[in-house]
Amino acid sequence: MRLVGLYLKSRRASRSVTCLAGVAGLGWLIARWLLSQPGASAEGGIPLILLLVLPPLYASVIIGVSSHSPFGDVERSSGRWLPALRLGHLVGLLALGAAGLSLAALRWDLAHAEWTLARNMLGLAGLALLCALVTGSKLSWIAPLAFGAAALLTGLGPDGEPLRWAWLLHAGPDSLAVGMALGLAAAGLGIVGFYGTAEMAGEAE
Amino acid sequence: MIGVKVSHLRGRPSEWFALSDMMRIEARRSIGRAFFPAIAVLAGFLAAGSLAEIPLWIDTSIVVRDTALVLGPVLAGAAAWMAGRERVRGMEELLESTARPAGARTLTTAAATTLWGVLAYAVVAAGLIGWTYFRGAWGEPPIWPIVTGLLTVLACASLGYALGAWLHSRFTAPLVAVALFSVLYFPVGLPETSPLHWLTPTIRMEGSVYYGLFPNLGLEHSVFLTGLALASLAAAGLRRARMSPVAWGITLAGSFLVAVGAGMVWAGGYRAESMFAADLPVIPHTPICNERRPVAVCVHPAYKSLLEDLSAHANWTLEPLLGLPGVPERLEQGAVGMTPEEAGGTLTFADGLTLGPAASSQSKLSVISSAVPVYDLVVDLNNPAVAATGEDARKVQDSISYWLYNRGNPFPCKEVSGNWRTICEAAERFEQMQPTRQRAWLEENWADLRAGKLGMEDLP
Repeated sequence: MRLVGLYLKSRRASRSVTCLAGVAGLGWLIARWLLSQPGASAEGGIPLILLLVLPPLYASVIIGVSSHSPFGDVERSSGRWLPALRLGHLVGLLALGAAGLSLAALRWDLAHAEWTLARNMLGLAGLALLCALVTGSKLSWIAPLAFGAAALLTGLGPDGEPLRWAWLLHAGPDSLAVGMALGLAAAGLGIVGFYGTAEMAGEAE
Repeated sequence: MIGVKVSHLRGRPSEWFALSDMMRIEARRSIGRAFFPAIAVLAGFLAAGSLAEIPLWIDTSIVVRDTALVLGPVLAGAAAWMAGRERVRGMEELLESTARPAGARTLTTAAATTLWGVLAYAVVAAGLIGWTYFRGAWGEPPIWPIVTGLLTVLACASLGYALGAWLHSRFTAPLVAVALFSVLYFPVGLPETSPLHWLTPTIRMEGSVYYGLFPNLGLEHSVFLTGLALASLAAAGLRRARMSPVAWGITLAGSFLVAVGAGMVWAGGYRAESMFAADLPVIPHTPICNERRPVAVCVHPAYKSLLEDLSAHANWTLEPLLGLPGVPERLEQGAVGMTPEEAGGTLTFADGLTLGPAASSQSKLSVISSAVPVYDLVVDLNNPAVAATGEDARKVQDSISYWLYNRGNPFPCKEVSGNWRTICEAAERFEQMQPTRQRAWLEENWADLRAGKLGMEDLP
């Protein structure tokens, strides 16, 4: 248990959890205000699409950055059960993030909001972890931000329906979107869990 | 070796050379350099997806401005990362002991990071402007959206740097980047009564080649963003030089500009709310016409590239109706907001273009189709009794309009349901008749059709 505690401490796990709770709370507050505005409806509209994309985006960049190790090669060469510790840490954060966002969305007047938020968070977090393999954990936010922005800015077709690649904007139970999100989450977790993230010079914290 | 370097620096005629050396080193060592190609490609990709088929300067200017939606937040994250660099590498105390003032170091690091973002913005803007220019767009690009976009990038970078300097955490850079993206994008969808709606520099604008951009809050946003950039940069400097009167002065001056700019934006926004684009003066232009008969077509010179296709489409669509009462011999494009008007055999149609995000959906074909207002011919808009006609009469009018729009093409009746299925099937039956019988029916029933006096049973 001491090993687990030290590992979580080195990853700033308590701060990550606080940030994830803050995101869920802030998302709940903003949604409550926004859904009470005149003109907001369950049928759609830009602010409501944003509600389903922005909170997962925040949560995913927090999880991506949380994968950063301050010890680098020292830990790689002498650490024990590292894949298990990494996987446990990341799975825990993903579960907490998904649960927090789903709870925040329970009372939203939007169909499948809780599932959509959890799905989007898992997919974007997977994207962040995969990005961390290339850029290092501290710059892992670039991929989810770029993809989220691309989906929001160009992801709707001329008929107002989301394009196939913009799975973030698809309805909650859409099988393609669920498959993409789970695939990204599994790939990110699997690869980062077993191999860790890339390390950039001067990343120590 | 050290002696050589010192004498080398002493030999410089001015402090500015030392600053330029620092700038060169910082630009080379900045994370912005690594980001530059990626963010330029990303912004270019997003911008290309937002461009309409018809090259219009008003459209291009807005798309250039909107690249700041991506460039700004990413650059802010990079700047926040750079601001924490000295601390992350444990160099803070060492650098405090150097001769160079902390403010100068802060400024060069922030400037070098910003430089890469500005360069990315300039590259994307140049590409979009070049694309529009070489496709022969009419007029000249409105400058304010482009300036607003540039200032948005600068303000984001400064704000990111300030937050990175003051808040030390691994979460600062990502949260700053995502938060700025939210701040730039989220208010766009809020109601116009919300102050936040007007304050965002990437506010949704409508544009018309007749009136220009509306609402044009470029100056107001520029004051606000300049103040924000100055205040943020000075606030970052205060982290190291807390008693610096220059830094405090610039912070206060910047804050004052932010307050003035916000006030100007809100005043301009609420003023715009009570106006319509049509209240603005029309930009001088000379329409260009295709006098090909039987239906001549005139358009605004910005739509010159559409003229041939539009003329052919109008003649094809209106061919079965030629010579019937109320059917025009001339179509003229009017300004946004105008309703079709009949006057002396001329029908004026609105250009129908809404710029901004909707522009991406404006294909040439949809513009051409919307420019031939068939429904406005089939329904006599000048007859007040038409508004009171029943659903059955409207179905007949819809059926004939549908037939005119789709004439010569397959009718996709199996793909539609409800009332539109009935309308589509009626139009398909009409299409299958001989042209002479179609004409005979139209001549016999045209007046009643327009007045809404026919029922579905009157259709063949």
